[in-house]
Amino acid sequence: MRVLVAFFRDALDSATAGSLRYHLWMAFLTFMMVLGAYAYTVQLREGLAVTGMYDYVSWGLYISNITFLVGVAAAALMLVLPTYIFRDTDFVRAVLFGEGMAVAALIMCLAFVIVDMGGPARLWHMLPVVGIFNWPRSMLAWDVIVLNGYLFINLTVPFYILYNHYQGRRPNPRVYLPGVLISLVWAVGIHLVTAFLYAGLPARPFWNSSLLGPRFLASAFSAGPALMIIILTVIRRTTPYTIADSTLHKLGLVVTGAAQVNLVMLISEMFKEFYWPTEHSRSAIYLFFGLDGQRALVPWMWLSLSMVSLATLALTVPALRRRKAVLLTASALLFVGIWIEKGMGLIVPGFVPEPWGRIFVEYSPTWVEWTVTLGIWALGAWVFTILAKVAVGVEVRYQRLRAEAEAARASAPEPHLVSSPASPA
Amino acid sequence: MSGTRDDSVPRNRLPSAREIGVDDLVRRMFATYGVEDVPAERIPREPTALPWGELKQTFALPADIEERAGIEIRDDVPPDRSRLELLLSREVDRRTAVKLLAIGLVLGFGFLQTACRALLPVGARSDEEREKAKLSLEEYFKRHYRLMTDEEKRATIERLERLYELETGKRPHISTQGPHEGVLYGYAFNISKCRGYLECIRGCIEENNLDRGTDMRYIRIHEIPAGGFSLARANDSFYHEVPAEGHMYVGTQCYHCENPPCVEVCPVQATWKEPDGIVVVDYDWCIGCRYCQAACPYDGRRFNWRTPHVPVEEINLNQHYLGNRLRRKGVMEKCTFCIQRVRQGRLPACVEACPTGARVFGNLLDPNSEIRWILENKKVFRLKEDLGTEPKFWYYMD
Amino acid sequence: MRRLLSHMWPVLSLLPLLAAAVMVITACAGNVRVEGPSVEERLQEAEHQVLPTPQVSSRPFLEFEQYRLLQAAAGGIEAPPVETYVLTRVDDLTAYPCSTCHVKPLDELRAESEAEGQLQHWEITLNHGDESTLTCETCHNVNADGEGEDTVDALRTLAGKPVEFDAAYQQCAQCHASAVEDWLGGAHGKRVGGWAEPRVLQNCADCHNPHDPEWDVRWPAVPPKDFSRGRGGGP
Repeated sequence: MRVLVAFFRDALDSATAGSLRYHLWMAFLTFMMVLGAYAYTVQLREGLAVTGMYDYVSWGLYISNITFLVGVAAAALMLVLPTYIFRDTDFVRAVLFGEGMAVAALIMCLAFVIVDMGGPARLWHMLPVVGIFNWPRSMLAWDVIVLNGYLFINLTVPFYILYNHYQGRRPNPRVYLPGVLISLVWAVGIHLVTAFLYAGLPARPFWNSSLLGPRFLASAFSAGPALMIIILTVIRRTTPYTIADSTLHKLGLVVTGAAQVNLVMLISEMFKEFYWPTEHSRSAIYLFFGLDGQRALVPWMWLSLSMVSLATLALTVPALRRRKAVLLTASALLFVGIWIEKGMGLIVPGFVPEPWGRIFVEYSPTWVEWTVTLGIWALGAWVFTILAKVAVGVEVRYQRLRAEAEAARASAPEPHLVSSPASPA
Repeated sequence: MSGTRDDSVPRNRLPSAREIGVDDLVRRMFATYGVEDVPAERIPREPTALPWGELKQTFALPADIEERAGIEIRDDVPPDRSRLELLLSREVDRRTAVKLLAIGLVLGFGFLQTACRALLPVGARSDEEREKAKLSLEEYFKRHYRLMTDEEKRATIERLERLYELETGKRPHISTQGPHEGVLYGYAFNISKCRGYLECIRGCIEENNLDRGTDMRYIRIHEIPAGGFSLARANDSFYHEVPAEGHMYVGTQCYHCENPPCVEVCPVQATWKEPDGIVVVDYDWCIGCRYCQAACPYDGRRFNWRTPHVPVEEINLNQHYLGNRLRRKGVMEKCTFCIQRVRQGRLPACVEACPTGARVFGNLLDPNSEIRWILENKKVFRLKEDLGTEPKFWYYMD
Repeated sequence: MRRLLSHMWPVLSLLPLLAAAVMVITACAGNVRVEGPSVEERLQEAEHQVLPTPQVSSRPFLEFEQYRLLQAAAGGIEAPPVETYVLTRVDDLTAYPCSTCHVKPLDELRAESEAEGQLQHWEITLNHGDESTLTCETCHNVNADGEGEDTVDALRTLAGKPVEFDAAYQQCAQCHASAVEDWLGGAHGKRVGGWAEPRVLQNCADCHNPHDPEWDVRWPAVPPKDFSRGRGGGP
């Protein structure tokens, strides 16, 4: 118990202490969060009318972000699977950050869910026992379960590993491996469930497609690791924690494969919509070419499309992929491209045209929505920074402890310990 | 928080019991807590300084009340504030406490404020606002409509009616009338008769207390150009003399599907299909996620993007809990076939308002009903039947 | 453990698929049956069972003294199988009974009136059907001065039989047989009161001017929905 208290005290120390740059970064994030909170109070007071949403585009920027971020959270799978199951040493040093990213993404998801609610105060109606939880009928009920469950797993497994490393112990696989296995299943689950949430609606032909789920996974497994590449590069530059080039390159490989699959699926979707456009293709026509003179999403969609294709092409060439600048740029392009496509490019056209085929007012987010969104992204970054800071602190200390232990044993060698310096995570 | 106040206190202070009206307050307190042994006329109207002995007699307090509490108050002088407070803190019996509070009021000590502020949400100023806060708090914790007992239903109706009365001075009548056995409502729309007069929309807005602020409408009338039946090519924002040459008019609204996708997706079961086939929303259970709106293939649902506004003089006071009672911001609402009317045997407002007779409403389970005659004798069709939603809304032609 | 796991990975990668499959089955299980009986099935079911008669009535919403019972099977029209009423017409007529004035042949009456400068309802121009088909005399007994079958206080069928003004729909039914059939069945016209029994129908002439049955062209009752209202920051 005292160790636990000490762990949290040291974690707090580690999270609150840092360089000037760290403090400035955190201060900036806090400022953004406060701004977002202010915008949210405006929304709470006036109602959702202050957003750009209305009856004919009743989900907007908030739900778009949820959709995308669920993918980012699910992408932790791509780090967890090789590390814990395949014993790939290259991912060992990245996996904790992957899990931290999942936690941050899930917290953002939950925050976006709450800000999108018309009656956040009545959310207790969802709690089983005191409220009514429409499970298994409602896909939204499923989504709530999987998101919270995944958050729980991604908090406990890394905590167990860090806590052991903190004490200089090697974590016991018998304890954490079941959690890891569940999290693998769960990662696929959260993104599939989120896709089914849309795909299960016959009212919206744009979403009512069997490819939606697989395509969610493909885009998530490229956008998530792409973000990871960027984050790891930043961590490598700003902290004493070492991350090998090979880790980044392997992540790059994951991103490339997923992005290629994603592109293939995108092409087959576009073929289906545009080779013989039916009335059900009107949403896709609106998205890519504009409909009835309304074309607010068209430039965004083509921008996203070119970003994703360009990045995928660049990554496909091994010589290009190995160049750090190209890898980073392509990752950023993919991330932003998929954010546009999986967000606004997916949610808004589902509602346009409305069920009887008309377009009334085109959706464009208001300042309240943008500010709240920025605030929540700042919250995500803030959470991740703290988690990463603590993890780096513990891991660096653990590396030192291991090194000392090895040095101590150098006189009386115990080969099996020396030969496997990189324990899982 | 303090008791006696005078006019020198700044403007934003709490109004004292004296300003609220001692008499009225005391009466209400006594009525609420069932204090019957104190005749109202014996209670002093204005703050006075009655001696303790007289007060005890007036308010029918037990003779040994101060002894039991272990304090001493002289009978021949008015009790001071600290003594009364001491008594109040030691005397646990609720009715006596109410009486003591009343004495505090009469003496101008403002005990009621002191006592209530601790119990109720902060910021409540006047008696009315306190009542409002209390009612709203109780409303917040109430259960799903379908889980309520009759007693709970009665209580929430009382609260809702009272809340609206406090706000506007008008008291609505909110019904909880249930479905009739052997009734399944159905609707038919004659596309050769509708002429686009939009009387139905007007009738609906007035009947259902629809938000005038966002110009909410449940019904849409589509003006379809001749030569096809494409609602995508239709216009439902027409404003010219109707019927326009070479156009037909088709109305859409909630179809009250037998297999409603909106009900399926609701994460908290705030919307459901009643036994008489009406798809309703529990406005106080809805969390405002709008998943049902995404799931509806017929544009049958409306969301309160802001606090709905209905001018007080235009309010329809004949209301139903699941129907046209006043909504709040952030909840979903929809056509209920005018549940407050049809369960009484009346026609929905749109049917009644339609001058052309294009709208027919009735009981599908009654083989002698007009709607059944139409289903059996006219060529009927439904929209988007391929989705398997089984709308109870048919279209037909002469 | 570790060695075991390293061999198990193909199995493990199947786990997510398994989970997804379980989810799909659970979530869809209820839907495969297409969710309960269709409306059609419910109606058929209702045919075979004795349903309780709903304890609802339109009666409270009707002011009965205004209405008159529709004669069953009158004029060869099959009446609905329920208690049905039709709004009466006579009270709405401005100059009834007709026999107050129409005591002599029309030509004489007209000459008299013109001399006095007081023409009654000569402004009516018949805009119903073709001139060669319909004239005043087709429905009105304008030249009659008699009693009984020849009364001026009733309409007259093509065969010369009198029809009470209150039962004017029988007059219309001579040509508009299918419309009247729809009207009695429930597909045409407007109902008064409620959806429950008894059924009260408006008479043909309550909606259609018999001399000019074409409906008005007019402006809609409400302007189109204003999507800018109540959005953004404004009220």
